[in-house]
Amino acid sequence: MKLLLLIHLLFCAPPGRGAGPDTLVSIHFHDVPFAIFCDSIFRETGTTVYFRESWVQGLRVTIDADSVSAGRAVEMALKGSGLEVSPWNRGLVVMPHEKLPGELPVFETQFQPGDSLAPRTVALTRSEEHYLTGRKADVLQTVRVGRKGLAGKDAWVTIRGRITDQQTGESLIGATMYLEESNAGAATDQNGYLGMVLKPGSYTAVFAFMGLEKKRAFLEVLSAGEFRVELKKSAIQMKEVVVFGDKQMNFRFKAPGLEKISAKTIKEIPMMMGERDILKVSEMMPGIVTVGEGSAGLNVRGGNYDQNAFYINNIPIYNTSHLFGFFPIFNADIVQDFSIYKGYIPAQYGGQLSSVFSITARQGNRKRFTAHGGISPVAVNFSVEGPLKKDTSSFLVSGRYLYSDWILQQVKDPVIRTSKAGFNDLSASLNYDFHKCQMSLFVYHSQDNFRLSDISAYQYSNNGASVNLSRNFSPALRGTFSASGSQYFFNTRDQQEPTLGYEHSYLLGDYRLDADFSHSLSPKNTLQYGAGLTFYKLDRGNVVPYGEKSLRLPVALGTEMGIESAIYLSDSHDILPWMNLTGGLRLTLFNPLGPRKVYTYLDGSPKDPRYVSDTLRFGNFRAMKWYVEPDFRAAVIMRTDAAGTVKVSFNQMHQNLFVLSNTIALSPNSQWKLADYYIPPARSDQVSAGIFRTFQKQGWETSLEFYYKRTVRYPEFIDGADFLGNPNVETSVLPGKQDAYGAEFFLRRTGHKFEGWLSYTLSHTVVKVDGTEPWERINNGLAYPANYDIPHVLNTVLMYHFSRRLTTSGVLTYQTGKPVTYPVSVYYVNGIQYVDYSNRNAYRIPDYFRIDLSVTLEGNLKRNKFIHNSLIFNLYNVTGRQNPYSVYFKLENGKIKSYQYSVIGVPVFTITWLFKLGNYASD
Amino acid sequence: MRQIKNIVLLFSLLLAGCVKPFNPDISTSVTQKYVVSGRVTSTEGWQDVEVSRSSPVQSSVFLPTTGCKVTILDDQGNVFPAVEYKPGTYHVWIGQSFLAAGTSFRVRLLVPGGDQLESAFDRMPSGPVLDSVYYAMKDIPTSDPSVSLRIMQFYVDIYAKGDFSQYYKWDVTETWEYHAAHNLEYYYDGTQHRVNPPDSSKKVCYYTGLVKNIFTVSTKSLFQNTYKQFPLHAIDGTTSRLAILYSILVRQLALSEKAYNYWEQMRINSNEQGGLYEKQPLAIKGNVVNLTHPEQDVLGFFYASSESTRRYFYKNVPGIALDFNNGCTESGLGRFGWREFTRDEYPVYYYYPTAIVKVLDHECVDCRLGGGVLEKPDFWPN
Repeated sequence: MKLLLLIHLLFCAPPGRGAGPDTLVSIHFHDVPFAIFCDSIFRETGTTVYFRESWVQGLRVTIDADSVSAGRAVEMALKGSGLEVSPWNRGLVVMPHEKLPGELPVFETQFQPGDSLAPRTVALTRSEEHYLTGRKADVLQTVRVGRKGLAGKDAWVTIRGRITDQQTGESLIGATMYLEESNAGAATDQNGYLGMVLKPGSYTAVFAFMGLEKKRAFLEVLSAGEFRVELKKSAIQMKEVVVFGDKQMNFRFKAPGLEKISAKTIKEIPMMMGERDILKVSEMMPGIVTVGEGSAGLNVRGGNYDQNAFYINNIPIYNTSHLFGFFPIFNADIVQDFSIYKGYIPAQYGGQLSSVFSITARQGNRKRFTAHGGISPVAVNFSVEGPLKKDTSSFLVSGRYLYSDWILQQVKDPVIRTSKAGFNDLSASLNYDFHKCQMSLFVYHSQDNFRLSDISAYQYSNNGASVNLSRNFSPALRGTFSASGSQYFFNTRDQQEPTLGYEHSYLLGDYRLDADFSHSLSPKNTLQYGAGLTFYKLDRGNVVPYGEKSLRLPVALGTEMGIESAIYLSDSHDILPWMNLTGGLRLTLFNPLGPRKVYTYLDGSPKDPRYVSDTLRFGNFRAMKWYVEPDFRAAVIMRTDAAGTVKVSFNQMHQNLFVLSNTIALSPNSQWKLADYYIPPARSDQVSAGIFRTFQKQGWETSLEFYYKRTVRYPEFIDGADFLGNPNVETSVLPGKQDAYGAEFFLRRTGHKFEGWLSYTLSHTVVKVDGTEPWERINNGLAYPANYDIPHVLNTVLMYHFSRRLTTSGVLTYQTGKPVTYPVSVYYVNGIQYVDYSNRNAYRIPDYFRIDLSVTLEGNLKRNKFIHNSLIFNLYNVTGRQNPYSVYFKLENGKIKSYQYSVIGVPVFTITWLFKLGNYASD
Repeated sequence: MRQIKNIVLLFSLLLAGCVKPFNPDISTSVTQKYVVSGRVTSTEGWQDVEVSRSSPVQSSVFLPTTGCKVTILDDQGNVFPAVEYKPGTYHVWIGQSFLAAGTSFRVRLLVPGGDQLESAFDRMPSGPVLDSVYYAMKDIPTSDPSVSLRIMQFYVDIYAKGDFSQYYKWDVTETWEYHAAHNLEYYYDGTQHRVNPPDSSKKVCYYTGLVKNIFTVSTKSLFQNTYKQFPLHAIDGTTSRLAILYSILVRQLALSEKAYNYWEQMRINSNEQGGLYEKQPLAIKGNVVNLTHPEQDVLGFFYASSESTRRYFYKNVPGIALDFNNGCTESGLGRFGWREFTRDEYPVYYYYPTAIVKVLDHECVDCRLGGGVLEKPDFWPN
């Protein structure tokens, strides 16, 4: 048997075996994957080519050559890929950007004569030159793009690069490339790709991403092509907060109207109960406010809380908080990128008037399996992630579960004591890289249960799934296709008054198809275009009696359907060296669809059941109205000097979906309602202008922005409106006008031991409902401050890094009290006191002020360790100030008592223990 | 932070929201508005109209407006001039023949400043007879988890078959008898006195008052004009109400829709609490306008209602343990005896539970200091 094997080896071994990389072969390949090419090299010459699959992924080989050495053949195949080949141990080793030292001179001389291609350029490539001058400490890596000879001397070429995290292999979103020579730059998109049009040549490129080490490299552009750059985690975890966009300091990266928050920001900022909350960090940014602690919903530049669109991997989320706003619905661990658009909103987005919050979930680790989890006194969570196929695909599954009943039982209040609260959420993602194409699947689920003694019970859930597919059609054209479905469900049971006890279930479905293209026309001109289709299906549910004693009459609120079709086109053009102009048009057609029964009302009468004149019936999928909604968007960015820009933008939005609620905060039984036969879409026009400056040496960045926003046809709810038992919403709303204006100041310092930011917002928002008829007015037709009109907001975040192991930070928050309608006088009827209230929102509750502190203590910095610990000491509300959430008045035994309600009225001290596998710097 | 997960160790956790009294900063120069309220009921008798002005929240006082010229008008052309019988309160006797359901009434008045005020017409609906008022014992939790409080919860039912209003309001007037802790027997006013036989004339009092809560309900959204177990007020053993004899007079008012909306808003304004989902307080518009100065808001509502009343008595209610403070405190004499009392503290009441003297508060011998009156109401059983 052994003999047989020996014979087989002797005679059947490939002919070139043992001949090594110098063996000359003839090679004729056309567009075959690199791996197959290497297989045949092995078969032909017996030369093993060692490489990492991820490096050569997508690399295809076209070679026609006779009598070249295996080494030369591989070198030819790798040309332009940024990879280098070196002979090693009678085999060949492929490495990115560098050759094995020591072997090079041999390699150079050996293969030069055998080159059957065009004579080698006499001049050495820059990398070779650099290499030969010796490896210095500050050696720059060379990134080579394209192949020689493919581009004419003066031709413009488009290059496309992907920037990834070296540790995890994940694509980085919003990473930047800056070319020092041409003062040009680009940032990566949702898939980690960036594109740039430039002339072939050599550049010095700086690649950067928040929290990762900046990387300088030679960028050698030979022709159009693709490249890949990996960034390492920074040893100093300081550059974790990047605000850019409207704040953008940088003329070069054209993403106007954008706030960006890294999930990493959160770690060193003090947080209530040590819970990392990405939404709470966003409230520290100018122009974004919340009406109080423990309240869901944000108000962006004078917009109501239903004027924000939240997306997680393109899945719209309709309730963004667990437990009424105490916890974010997004597990901070799965957030990779969090962008907030509040000024200029790219034409790609539509639907909500004020802002877009877009969350991109992390892709799983592409290098290795890892799992992490945690247990807190209130919640448990667990995540597992890893590659499915190394460097090509990965998955991430993450879940949380809250068990807080035991806390509630410690509370003295009998109602709270007998209550229950719980939530859970789960997300799963799957990513796969095909050749020139990336696919990701994402599934999301969250659920909340809350029972307030036996008085009421709330249940709500978000469920969604999305498939995203990106493809590079050419280096200049990239397309993203997305299909998503999202459902928001709630169920409320109320028995506060047994006779009126009810149960109500509600379901909102949102199904979308989107196609988006990014097209680099020239180095100065980038086109974005696309189309989207959204289908809404709302089952507003039935309000049915609940409990034996209930005498309530069941009411069917009915179902609603609507279809929103949109196309958009936007163009970003550097019209002057110092000026960029972006213009966009989004054209939306919204059709509320049947089946529906619509009442018509008598002319000159309020829309009221008493004045119904006729009934219109619309059949299944019949369009009831054709609302054409053109959104014009424009932004001009002007660079005033090397450190400053001025930006002016105009933004127009339409909104077809509203929340029916007259409560100040987003509540778990807030119903969403489509624009319909009577309620038209609301429109907002915003003009904003800002100046931005950097003081590079000192590390300061500043901006000052102004905005004015006018909203029309926004539904305002008449006093005492009853949405529960009213299927005909038009009888409860009036079209309102909102006027919002403000100034936002931002100052930030990074990259120093002492860093942080300060944001101050001065703003005012008024609402006016002044129809011609008396019943078409609220507050007698006079303007009144919106419920969330908060003129002054100051947020300061300060951090001091004593060393890499010890960081202290503090947060100071001040905001004007929110408007309130106060009782201004008292009167008596039959000897009983009654209260006369002021005009709507004529007064304000006391101002809000809070200081938080935290100390972060990192474990030792040993390089080789299995686990790294850090401790975070958190003191929330240091002064113990009882910040009023609301002020209310009650008649008690004939006397008016006024009370203030504070959500957190004491300092809350927590210790959080964090651990991760690996050392301090590992990620 | 990727592979990092946290285990939160909490040293202190106090998540309970806190509520504390609050004093709003409101300018005292708030305009004093006229307040006109009154109603015409379906029962023959005096119909009252009250005219006053509002006062600041911090120093709330009743500011009656005297000297008005008040008339009630109906839509049949009848005019009923009212007279002021106590400050700010005007009344007129309207006979039964004018009080048929379906008649609309309004009030018109001329205030001393010369302004003319007028209400809108309110149509008197027909209302059913008050069905029944009853109570049930309930144990409600207190801030101490191991202790619950037993209360006596009153309920009313509506049973309206026929063409009746679907809007209801109830006024509950409660009356109870209570006693001072002691008869007047000994007192000191420089010298010691003994009254023999002891004076019990200030021992028995009767308190009468309107329950402050507004009870309103509409059966409009229900499939029939009936309503079971509408909760009225509740009492417990921590007051003197149930000590001797307790009575309630329940007045059921059938209202027009507008009057109901007004009172419903008044109820919402008075009862709604703040919290995570508070509602906007309503700026309530009454139905009275100032014709002379239309820009000046007038508070209050003038309405017409059909009413039906019943009185109930309760005594020795089983299940309620009496545990109330009768307001009487007694103390021993100090080191200097009677000399510790000054002239303006005379008379000092006392008694001898044992051989040692105990000094009594005035509340101990004079029940009127508890808010009631000595006169026994007509309806009080002997």
